[in-house]
Amino acid sequence: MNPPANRSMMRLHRLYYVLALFNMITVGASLYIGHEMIATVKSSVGIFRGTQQRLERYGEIGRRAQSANAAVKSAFANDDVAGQRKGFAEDKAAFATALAAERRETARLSADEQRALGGNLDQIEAAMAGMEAASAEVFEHLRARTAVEAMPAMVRADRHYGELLNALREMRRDAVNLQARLLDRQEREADVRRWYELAIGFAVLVMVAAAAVYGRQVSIRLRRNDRERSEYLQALETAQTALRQQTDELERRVESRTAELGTANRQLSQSEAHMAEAQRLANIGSWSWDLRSAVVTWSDQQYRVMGFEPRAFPASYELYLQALHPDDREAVQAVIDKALQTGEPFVVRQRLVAPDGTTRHVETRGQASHRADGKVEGLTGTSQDITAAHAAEGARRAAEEQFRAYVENTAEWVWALDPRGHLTYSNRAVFEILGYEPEELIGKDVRPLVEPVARAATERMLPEVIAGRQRWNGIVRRFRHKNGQWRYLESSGMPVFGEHGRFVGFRGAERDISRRKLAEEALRRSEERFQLAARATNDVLWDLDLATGEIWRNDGMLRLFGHQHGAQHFEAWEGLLHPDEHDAVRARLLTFLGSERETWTDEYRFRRGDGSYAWVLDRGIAVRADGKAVRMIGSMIDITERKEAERMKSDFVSFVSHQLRTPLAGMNWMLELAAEAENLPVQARDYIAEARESAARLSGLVNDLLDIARLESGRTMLARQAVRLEDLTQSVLREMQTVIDEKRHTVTFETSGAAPALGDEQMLRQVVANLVSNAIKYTPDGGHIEVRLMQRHDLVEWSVRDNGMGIPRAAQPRLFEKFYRADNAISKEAEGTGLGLHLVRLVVEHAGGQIWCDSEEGEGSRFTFTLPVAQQEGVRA
Amino acid sequence: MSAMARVLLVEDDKFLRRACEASLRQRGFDVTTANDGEEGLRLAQAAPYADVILLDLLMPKMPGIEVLRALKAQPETREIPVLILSNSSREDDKQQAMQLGAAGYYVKANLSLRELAVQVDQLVQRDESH
Repeated sequence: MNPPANRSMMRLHRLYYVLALFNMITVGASLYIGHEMIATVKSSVGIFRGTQQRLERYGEIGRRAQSANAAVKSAFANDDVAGQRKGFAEDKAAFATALAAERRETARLSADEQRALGGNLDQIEAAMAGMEAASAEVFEHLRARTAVEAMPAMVRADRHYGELLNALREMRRDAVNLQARLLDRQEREADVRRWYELAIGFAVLVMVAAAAVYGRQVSIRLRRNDRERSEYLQALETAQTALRQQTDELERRVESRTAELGTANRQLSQSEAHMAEAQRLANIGSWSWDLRSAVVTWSDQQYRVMGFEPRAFPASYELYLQALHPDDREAVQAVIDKALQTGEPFVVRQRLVAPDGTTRHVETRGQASHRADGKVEGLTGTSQDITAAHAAEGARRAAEEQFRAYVENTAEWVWALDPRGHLTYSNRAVFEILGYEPEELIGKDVRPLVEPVARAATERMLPEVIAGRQRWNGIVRRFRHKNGQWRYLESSGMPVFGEHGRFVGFRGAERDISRRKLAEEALRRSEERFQLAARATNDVLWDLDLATGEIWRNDGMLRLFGHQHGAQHFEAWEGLLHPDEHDAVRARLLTFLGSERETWTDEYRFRRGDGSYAWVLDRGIAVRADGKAVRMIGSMIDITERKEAERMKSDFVSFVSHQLRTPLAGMNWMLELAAEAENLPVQARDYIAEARESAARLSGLVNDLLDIARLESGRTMLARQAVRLEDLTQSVLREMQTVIDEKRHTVTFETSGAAPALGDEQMLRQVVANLVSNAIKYTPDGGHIEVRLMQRHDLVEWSVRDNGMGIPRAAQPRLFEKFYRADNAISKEAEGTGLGLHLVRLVVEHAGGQIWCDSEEGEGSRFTFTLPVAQQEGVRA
Repeated sequence: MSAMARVLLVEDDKFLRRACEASLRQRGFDVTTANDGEEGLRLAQAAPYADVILLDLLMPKMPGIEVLRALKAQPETREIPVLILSNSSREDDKQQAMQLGAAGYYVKANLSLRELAVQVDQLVQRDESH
């Protein structure tokens, strides 16, 4: 399709060019005429200005002539004739200059104009010449003072002047006329040009109108063209749309078809994927073997089952045979051959060796496909990896065997009963437990073996057990052993149900707990005995676990002291100690626990439930593990009555001792006075000296008795001071130096430095003095005595060692008892009281310390005591 | 030893009193004796005042500890040094006497007359030096 041709447009184009050309011509003509008009105006101005200048020059000529004439006239009235003449000459020269200028201007004019202006310039020049001549006469006369004669010249001069003025007037008129004439001509020319201008203007108007018409025509034509073009474009678009629709339709169909194909493909590949996934999950591969084409196909999983990468290489029957475990190859081949011959389905289990060397158990199933004539044309089938199942089967079998072995060999009697109570199964343990071989009991009612009471209880329980399908556990019954003895068996079991929930009997096991039962019984009896014995002795028995701090007390605690018994914290004991003794008792116990000694004994006051205090004797033994005490077991006895008796005894001793002291002092003093008496016979002096010694010993005895009574009564607290044993020992040794020297002993005192000990200084002085004194006393002359002082942790340890007579082993345990004296001591020195070491022990123990003796008879002894280190706080130094 | 220092001995046991008096006189003291607490206190409060008082504790009529208390309560007798001569070695008896202002505390059975004289002399010396 072509757009419509437009011939009229072509015509219009040509017309447009003609109009444009014509337009240019008319505008050019108009411009030219405009220019001419301006030239005319300019020329008119020039004419006017020339006329004016001319008239001005005429005026100048006239004024010079008048001035010259006036100069002549003035010469009459004025004596300065020479001056006037000179003025005249000046005017005449200016006149001549103006006239010459006028002549030059006039000469430039056209001949016609020169004619129009006339030849009056010569007249004027002639008149001036006449005036000059007449004036010269006048001046001559006047200079000669002949004024009257001058008058005719004067009249001539005036006449010439008049002529000059007339000529000048005419010239002025001619000039104006010429100007009017020239302007008239100009006006005419202007009129002509105006008409031209008008004509051209009209032509331009016509052209503009023509251009307007032309423009309109063009506009109409263009609009029509546009319409035609848009119609054409619309038609084109319609055609294109139709085409596009057809294309779209085609594409849609293609797409739809493609989508259908895609869905089909997807479904297919999904099916394949599902299949592959199913195969993978089930670990089942599939395969086929087309005998005609000899093509073997394996699914991906089939490759995996065989231990290969899927599709790593083409499948083949030979590869399969190679993968077979050598031991299985023959058998598998036989099965396949048979299937090929008979066409029957087959199942074969084989081992396949994967490329990595692992062996898999695989179950292959196959079936033949047949031709129309019945011949086998191929095999298809599946292969499943049953390695795990195979292993599980093996494990199950092993577990079963293990379980069977366990059941057979366990010490428990495992049994099964039918609903009537007849034994259907029994392991061999029954022989060990009840003395019967299983064969003796199987098929028999075993219930008569159970103790009648327990049996009746069991019979009552069973219906509920069956109904509720409950297990039972921990039921203890006595069974009669084949040898007639009773055995305790702990039973556990359950009812057994078969198909449809039918009750088919019981299954269970019996554990022989006779030994435990007997042990329990023995323990119970032992405990009973223990409790009875404890009650009989009126003791509190206790058991302290040092790891947990828990202390157990039997009911004696309640009976004797009114306190809760059973298990409690250790504080339950500590908190009941008398405040005055609490620290000391505790310290002694801790010292014992830190030592290696086995037994601990202490006497202390213990608060009863009613707030009063009882005296107790507490004794315990420590159980040690790796040298560390972990447990203490002991008993507490109420010794309040004994203590009371002791107190009374002490009081008595105290009273008696006090009473003894008065006469004793009297004896001492009197003997002292007697000894001081002069002139006494020597013999009497000796007697007195011996009497004094006896009295002194008696004083010592009384002192010791009083101290012991005081300490034993428990009513007096010794001072608790920080005592420097080093100073104290040195002081004692100094006091005894005389005796030491007398016996020629060597005494050494060694100390590695020790903190102050806690105790009563005065009493400790007695302790040290007593022990050193003993060493001196019981060591033969020239003996060796070593005193040592050292600190061990928070204990100060003091000891004295001698190489004296020693103490018999039998005497050692009783050494610190009151009034006790070893035999060899008695034989050595009759005066000993048997109170010294007892007092020493009391003082040391009172201060929270301990004292002991190591001795070999004949080799010497060593006495050692410890005291707690005085802590800084709460101690009077 | 100062000449004729006055000692007041308050002691109920006559043997002790005699022995003590004899010993002190031998050693140059001017000894006055009293048989019980009341007499002792009366003598102590009357001029001429003793330079040292020796006082038993356990006595009829007035225990020695009360005598001591009374002596220490009066300006005239407060400054007289008092030595306690007792039969008791109990710590609390000693503590009480010392707290009331006794100059010393001795158990008679453990004290020799010679030692006693030395103690008395020291007290007199000390007193004179004041």
